[in-house]
Amino acid sequence: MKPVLLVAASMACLCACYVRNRVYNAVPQSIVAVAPAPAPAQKAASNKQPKPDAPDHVDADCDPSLRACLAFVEFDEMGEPWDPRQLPAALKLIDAAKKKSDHPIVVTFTHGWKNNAEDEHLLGKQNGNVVGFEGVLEFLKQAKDPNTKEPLYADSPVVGIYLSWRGDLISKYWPVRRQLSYFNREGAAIRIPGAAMTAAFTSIMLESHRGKPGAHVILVGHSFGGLVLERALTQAMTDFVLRRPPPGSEDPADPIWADLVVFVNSAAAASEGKQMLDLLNATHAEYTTPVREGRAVERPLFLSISSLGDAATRFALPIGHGPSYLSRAWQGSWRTYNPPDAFGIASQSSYYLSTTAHMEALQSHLIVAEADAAQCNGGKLFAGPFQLPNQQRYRICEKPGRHNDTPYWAMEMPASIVPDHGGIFNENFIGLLQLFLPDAEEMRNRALRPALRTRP
Amino acid sequence: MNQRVRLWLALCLLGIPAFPQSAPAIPAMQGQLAVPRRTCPGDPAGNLASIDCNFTPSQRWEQFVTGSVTDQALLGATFFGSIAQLMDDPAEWKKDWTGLGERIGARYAQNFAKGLTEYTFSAMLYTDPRHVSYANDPRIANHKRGVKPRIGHAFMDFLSVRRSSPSGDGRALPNVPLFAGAAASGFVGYAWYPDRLATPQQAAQRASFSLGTALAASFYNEFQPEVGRLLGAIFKRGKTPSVPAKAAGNPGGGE
Repeated sequence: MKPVLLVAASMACLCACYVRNRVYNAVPQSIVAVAPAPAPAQKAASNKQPKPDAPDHVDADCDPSLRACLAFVEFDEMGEPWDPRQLPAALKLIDAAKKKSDHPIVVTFTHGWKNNAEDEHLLGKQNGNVVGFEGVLEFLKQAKDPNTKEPLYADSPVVGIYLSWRGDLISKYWPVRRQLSYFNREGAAIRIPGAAMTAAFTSIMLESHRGKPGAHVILVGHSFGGLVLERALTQAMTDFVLRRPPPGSEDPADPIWADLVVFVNSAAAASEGKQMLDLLNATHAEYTTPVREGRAVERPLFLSISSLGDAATRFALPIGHGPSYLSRAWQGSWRTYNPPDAFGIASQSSYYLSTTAHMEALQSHLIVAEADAAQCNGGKLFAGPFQLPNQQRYRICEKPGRHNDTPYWAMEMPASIVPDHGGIFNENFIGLLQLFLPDAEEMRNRALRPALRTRP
Repeated sequence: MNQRVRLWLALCLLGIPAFPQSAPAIPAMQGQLAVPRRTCPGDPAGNLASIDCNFTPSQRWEQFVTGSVTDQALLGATFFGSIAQLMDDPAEWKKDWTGLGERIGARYAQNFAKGLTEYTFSAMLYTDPRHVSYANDPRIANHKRGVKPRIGHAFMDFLSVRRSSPSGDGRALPNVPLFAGAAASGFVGYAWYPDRLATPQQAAQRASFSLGTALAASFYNEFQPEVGRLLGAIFKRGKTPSVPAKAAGNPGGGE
């Protein structure tokens, strides 16, 4: 009898440790205003009473010109949208922003492992990713020009889209099992990006630019969210690159793609990005602006940036990929490039055991503290010296002797900017990202912004 | 002469200030948002994801459950219990499945008693047991350079504990929850250990082991960046080759 009871109790415990597979913010709760709820709304709320210091409140009619607005778009375990009304609601929000301005800013964020779309502070708790992303949207709304200290995007409504998947499988009360869900969630991050998710990203990009080419679309993926984003975009991007007409046959500034795609502390193996890098290399892709004094001409279309303090992608990823690496090695699946490939790498498996940003051979730029400026060693300066809110000065330069000169930029950043894997929602990092965004003049004038050009 | 020294000398000779005052500065926004954000202990500087640094009752409960009840506690007890089984410690317990169960159970119960005591005292004193490094400690106004202050801070963070506060800079209190928990983990063994091990000396030894773990955790927290750099040097992959890539002209590489 005892063993039966023991097995039953163990099964009950193991079943109870899963985070429920469900939609968290179905329409109309999928649209929130990034601002404390006005007093009457607090009183009116019934089942979900926002705390007085909650940074957001449900507002289906959120006006992006008054405050940053956030839309949730959630996908299930198979990559299908949980609530098909969420995406149209998000697109309606973009439309509302376009009615107020010719150049709204649309930022999507795809979260990573151990996260989901639970807007917990409505229940008196906090979801670091949701609160952090809302902080970023507010930061952009209030961003100031580093030189003039004038509002940078004063006339640009800010819309955020929190693209969510079931990144959190195991309850936080079971830390070891939660940690071991790495393999399971990596599988999910590879499985989920299908037609529905690619369609969501493409719809966001198209809707943002439709009739308003001045809109600025930024797609951000963090950790496994970087893997999700990269997988969802790669094939659509391939189509976009190959369909680019030759220079001169069309206005190259015609924008239908994202203006910037950021993979931050991405947990995608470099093998995910390698084929895109090869394609951009083969098509001699350039993402450049018209020449302007004081502004760099080359810009990133893809920006893979990871912290030197990010132990998860520097050390845990190679370890986590170890078993499947060995299994593939046993099957003879790894190829040797002879001679080495365009990045000087001879072993295909090297890409699988690192990430794009951490792989030295793929790095295009360096971010160095001003005291270490000698590391740039004559490399062309992209930005700097500039000072972040942490009072430290840095510069960004092309990596000397680099092999990656495509618009897919890869770089590591000092831990003084992002200290670890999760700490991306901080003003030093967002201040750094600001350098990759258009300045006030570029925001007003679409013709000054970068455009993608390719050559066969 | 290393590169940094050469650069400094070159800049001095040229009369160019190393840090030009005109460097554009991206302003801090953390405190200016509609709901101001805070940098709580353990958060990155300029954090935008925390509103309240209090160590909430739910966080305290989570810490107790994860550390003393569920799989982490079970795994720790199983690991150390199995080692004890191999080392036949204590010899009074048989080296069979029952003995293994006793050894694992003793460690699980010891850890549970420690966690429950820490939880109780922490809840009563409203403390925030999260470690904070010297560089991130909001209570230190002027940070000195060097290793000594950091070592001192690691000891201080072990011996004292902050009171939970909205801004994370609560008053330092003696780390009563930690020491009470260590004492509980030492003395609770009286209930099941053989008489030979149910002595104050043996209890003190068990408590010391518990405190040693806490001290190691404090030092790890303080020197985590250095550990990361060391591991980084070990795991560095895909070094930039010296041969220009385009000269290699490999079709597999996309050229």
